[in-house]
Amino acid sequence: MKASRKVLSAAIAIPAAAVAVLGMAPMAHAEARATCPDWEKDCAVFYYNSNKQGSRTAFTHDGVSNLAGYTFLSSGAGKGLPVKNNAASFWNASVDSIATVFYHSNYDGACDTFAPLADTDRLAKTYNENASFDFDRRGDNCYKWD
Amino acid sequence: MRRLARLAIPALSLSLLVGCASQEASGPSPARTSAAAPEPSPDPSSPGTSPGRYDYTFRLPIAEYSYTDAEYEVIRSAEQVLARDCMKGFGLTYRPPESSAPVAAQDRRYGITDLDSARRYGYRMPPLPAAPKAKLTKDQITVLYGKRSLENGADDRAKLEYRGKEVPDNGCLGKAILDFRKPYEYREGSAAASRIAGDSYEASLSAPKVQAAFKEWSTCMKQKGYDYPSPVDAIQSPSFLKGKVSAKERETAAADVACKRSTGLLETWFETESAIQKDMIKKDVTLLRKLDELHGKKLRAARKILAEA
Repeated sequence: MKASRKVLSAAIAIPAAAVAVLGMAPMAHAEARATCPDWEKDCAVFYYNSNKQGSRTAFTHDGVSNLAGYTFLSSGAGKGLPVKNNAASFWNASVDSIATVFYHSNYDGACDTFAPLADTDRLAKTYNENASFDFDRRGDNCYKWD
Repeated sequence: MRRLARLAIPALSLSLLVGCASQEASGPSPARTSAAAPEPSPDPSSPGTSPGRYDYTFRLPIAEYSYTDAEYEVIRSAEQVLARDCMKGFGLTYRPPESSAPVAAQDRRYGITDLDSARRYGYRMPPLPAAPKAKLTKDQITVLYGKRSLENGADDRAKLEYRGKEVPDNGCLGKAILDFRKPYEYREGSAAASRIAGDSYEASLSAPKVQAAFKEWSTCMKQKGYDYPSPVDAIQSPSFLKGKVSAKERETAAADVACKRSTGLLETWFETESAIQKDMIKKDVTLLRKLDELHGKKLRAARKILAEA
């Protein structure tokens, strides 16, 4: 696990060392950016502060089984700090996919599923306990509040 | 009780709507049982409607206030109808993709619980069948997805138009989703429910009964040659998060599930967290009831859209 890997630039594609390869869909690896690009239909955004404020990181293409090594990328409070167990709010900017945030790494523990284009001002217990997330995890038995 | 009424999901009407004959015709398969228990369950409830024996999350008290997978599918289908109507306004037809086939539940709230899956995939999530995608023309994509249909690097500052008519930024699909959500949105209620579900999980981890059960589990694992203080540590082992699944991972995962069964850890954990949740729910019952009411209203509205589609 390249847990110490630092993300240096705001718009860099992260190599997939820490990313689980899931599903029978074409192999994809998560990419991290400061902002959801227009051309991505699926994008999940973690924010350092509540109410979708502060620095953020937008993930596309695939989920991440362990968010260790990813940092907040956009300018704002929290920039450069780790995303793992450190995000206060979340937006599933996807139009086609649900997105699920898990308390522990490896999609373990309490979890919340977010409908397409749903967000939360405050990640409740995954508040500062967001360790992994995934897109389109049907049948994941996570709660769906919105 | 609303929950009982909601269980009668008109799956048939969904499949009619989306013309989803192929999955229905393929006959019984494990993938069709959304709440499939890995072993025959003593509960004779019909598949896809009631949580199975190892679906702990949806048997906990707070689950009453959450949408189920099947209910999400009803809402998604209604949004697709609204998107289709929006497309019509641009002179475009749109045939929504088929409904996703229900998949066997993977409840990992208490870690892995399915022996079969542990033997095959270790601690990894079993593969999912790819979601059905609609076949779309370029014009359909433009109007359905709005600015998300732009090419990589395209200028997105200008308003997007199709044949002289302005396309919503999020496209017809995004607009359908956002417009349909708005009247039923209740952020305070969702936040309360989410907080309870997370707090109860966290509290359960340090509850004396669960801690004692972790110890028994750990002893059982040690007898099989594995050294972990708790299943939470095992599933997060760095070597089980990357690379290919090894024989050792499969064996460890199988031992994990076997020890959970022999020590009764899962039942203890579930009962402990249930009790914790019940107390927490009492404190926020007004918010939760309102949330539940709005969920019911949204589902009724979604079913109405489907019935009239």
